Amino acid sequence: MIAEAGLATLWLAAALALLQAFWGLSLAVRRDDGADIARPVRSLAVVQALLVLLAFGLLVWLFLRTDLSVALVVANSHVDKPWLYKFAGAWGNHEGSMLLWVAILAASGALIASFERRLGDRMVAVTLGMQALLGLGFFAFLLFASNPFARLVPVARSGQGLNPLLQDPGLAFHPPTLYLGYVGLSVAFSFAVAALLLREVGPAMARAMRPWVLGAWLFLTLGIAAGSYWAYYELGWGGWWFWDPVENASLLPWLAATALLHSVAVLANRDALRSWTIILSLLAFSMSMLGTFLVRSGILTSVHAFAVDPQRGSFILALLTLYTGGAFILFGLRIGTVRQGKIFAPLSREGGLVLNNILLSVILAIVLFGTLYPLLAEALSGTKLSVGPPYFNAVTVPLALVLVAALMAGPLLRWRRGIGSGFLKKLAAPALVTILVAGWFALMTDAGWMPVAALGLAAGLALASVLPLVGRKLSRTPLAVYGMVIAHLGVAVAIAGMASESAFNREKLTGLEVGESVKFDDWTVKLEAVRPVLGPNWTAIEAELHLSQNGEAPVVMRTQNRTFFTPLNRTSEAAIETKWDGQFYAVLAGADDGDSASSQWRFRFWWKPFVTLIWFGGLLMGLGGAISLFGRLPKGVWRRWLPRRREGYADA
Amino acid sequence: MMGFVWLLALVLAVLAGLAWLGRFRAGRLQLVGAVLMIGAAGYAWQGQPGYAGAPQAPDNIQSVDQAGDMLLTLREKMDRNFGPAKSWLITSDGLARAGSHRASAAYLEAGLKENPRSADLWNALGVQMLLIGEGQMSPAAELAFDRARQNNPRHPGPDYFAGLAALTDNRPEDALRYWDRVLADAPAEGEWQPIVAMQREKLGALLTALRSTETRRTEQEQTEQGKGDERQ
Repeated sequence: MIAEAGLATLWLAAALALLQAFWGLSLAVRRDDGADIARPVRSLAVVQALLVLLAFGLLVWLFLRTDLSVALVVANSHVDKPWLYKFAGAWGNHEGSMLLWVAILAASGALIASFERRLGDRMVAVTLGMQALLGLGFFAFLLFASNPFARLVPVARSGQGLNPLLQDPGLAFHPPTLYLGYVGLSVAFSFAVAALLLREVGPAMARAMRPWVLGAWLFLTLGIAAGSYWAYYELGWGGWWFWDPVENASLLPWLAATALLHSVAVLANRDALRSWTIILSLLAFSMSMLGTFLVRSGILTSVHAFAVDPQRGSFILALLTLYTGGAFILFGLRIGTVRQGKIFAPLSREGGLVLNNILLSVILAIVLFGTLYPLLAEALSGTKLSVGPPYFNAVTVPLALVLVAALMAGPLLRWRRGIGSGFLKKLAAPALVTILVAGWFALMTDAGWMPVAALGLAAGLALASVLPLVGRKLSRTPLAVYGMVIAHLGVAVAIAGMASESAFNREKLTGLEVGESVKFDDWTVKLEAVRPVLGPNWTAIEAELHLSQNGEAPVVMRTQNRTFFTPLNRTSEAAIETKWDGQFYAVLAGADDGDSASSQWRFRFWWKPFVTLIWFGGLLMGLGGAISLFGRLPKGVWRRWLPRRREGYADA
Repeated sequence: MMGFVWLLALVLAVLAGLAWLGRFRAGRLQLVGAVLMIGAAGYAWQGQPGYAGAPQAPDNIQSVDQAGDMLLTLREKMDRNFGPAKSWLITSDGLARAGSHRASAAYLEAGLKENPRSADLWNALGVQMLLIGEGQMSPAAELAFDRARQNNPRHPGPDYFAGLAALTDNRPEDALRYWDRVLADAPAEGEWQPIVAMQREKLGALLTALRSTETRRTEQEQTEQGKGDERQ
């Protein structure tokens, strides 16, 4: 009954999306204001969203009760799984995650319909129409190619379980945060398309779009940071970013969204960068669609790859072509109608943001090329090749360093009129710090030039990021400025972490017998015991290590090699000890010669200096985004609680 | 058929909701109704309204099945040491028979802290891991059995259960080798030898029958192929 209810709900939601798309987009060709349709479209968006959310709720319910008459539940769940993984398992698969995507898409439309009052009804209705058109494609994909409520006849005896790598609390947060990001960018896309159709590209559109872009960027940042940390502690490779194609697929929209969020702020406040804003809006969601295609088409084999069905891949490729191709054709046809915004000097804050956009776009292009090239090469010539960290690091890092330098100087520039008299004075301190820090590392360590430059620039950026607060009355500074400061500071912190870990990471591969110790720099590691242990749905070999530094009392670490049975899978559970200046990371590699009767066990140890700064920086960036977003609440709400504020450098 | 009831209820709820939200003239509501009928038609085409759901409740207290009970009984017969480890084994077996494998294993692990050289306790832990793995030999189970062997090389449990795991893994020849080793080293008296001997004999007979059937079929195929070549 619940499965049938879910399917029926999904069909009705799709039907409403069809009507919403038709009515909404029809206003683009009508000459009147379309008030007779514009307002009903808002109601349709709200009801459609309620239906989709209900369908998703019913799917979650099916997983929680382990309904073995539903094919999806059988393939991705098991009655003995802890309830958290049953709950998260609802979206830990292709069909469920697609339904989550559509649910967030519909919910975004409902929020626009309910709260967007600044734009006219016609613009909102066309935006909702475009949003529904996007949803319609995914509804069709769900209903015809990936039905989450498909039944299994006869009923299965038991479920097949969830990929053990995904049985982790991180799973509960990582995908939904990323989808909130991807789908948030769809709103920017819809606004942009509506603005092009109605020839209303301008500050009003940007003010409506800005909170959505900010929210999408915030969730993408948190989702990527969470995914990076999850991969770090779960996969047992000691790394935090592998330039895996699916990781790149999340980075691409993030890069576009970062450029977009700066552009849209400028358009909203300064009426400049109109074309940039539109093209970045289209590009950002296109990158989201591309990521969806890569993950679900079967082109890639990865822990992220949901589907391996070429037919589904073709369906998504068709949607990708339709949406992005159509949007860019529209852009090409209508770009002539996008009036130029206000003029600005090249050496100005706007000019700095253009440089920011260019650099981010170039990095995006490099990552895109590196991600797609192996796929294209295999498709055209059958040659299997891989493009990995050597390419990405060598090409993107130098550009990223230039971007960081621009980030140091950009916020200190004046709007429109070029550099002011105080610019060089303000820049002197961060520049000096950069040179001193980089110089110290260059002289006192044997780190390569890239980490040295990155550490210097991170220090300089950390100082530069707080400079916009200097000379201000802090209690009257807009929240958006605080958000910008914290987010830029987060960038500095993250870069410091990446550079430090890259330059000073130390690794040791060793064999130990029980009772034996090994020295690793300042550390002494003793293998205290190796024992078999039993978990809720796994067995494991667990190694107990005693870690001590400089004769201090030892800390106990436990690393495991686990075997899951439904489905059969083996995973490595790293042991991590966090100190103020880094993390000690230990992984049990196995018994010597693969024979557990052997008395010697192999381990990999790492000391990773300041690696936690990477994710702390990510959190700071997210916090900055959240503060900026909070500061963008409607003024009526704000005024009730706080003193009157002056609109200032509202950049983010 | 409850699927159609739900569908009808939803359609009415949607129409009522839209009417309540306002902004819909009667004519437009009729259009909405018509579009919803398209959705309803889609469900009617794809749905299975008469097919009931099949929820499965977690059954953590499920007792071991007959095969699991036989394994535990056979393991008990193989236990060699009636010393301090026995009390741990009795309690852990009770927990295992009640389906509480984790509690049983935890109990054995506590027993091993006090009796680290008890081959019986190591063997029992390995069996618990086999049970939770539905007969599959995980590295952890293998380690437990290895520890049992190290503490008592003549303990029959590790090799017997390794053979059982090989059989589960569709390697009957390996199973026979393990069981031959167990029986070769078996003491003169004991309750478990006849059981293992019978299992070994039946498995051996089954493999022999299968090989002979395979041989006859191969010969028949070769004969028919030879006749076909002659006709040509």
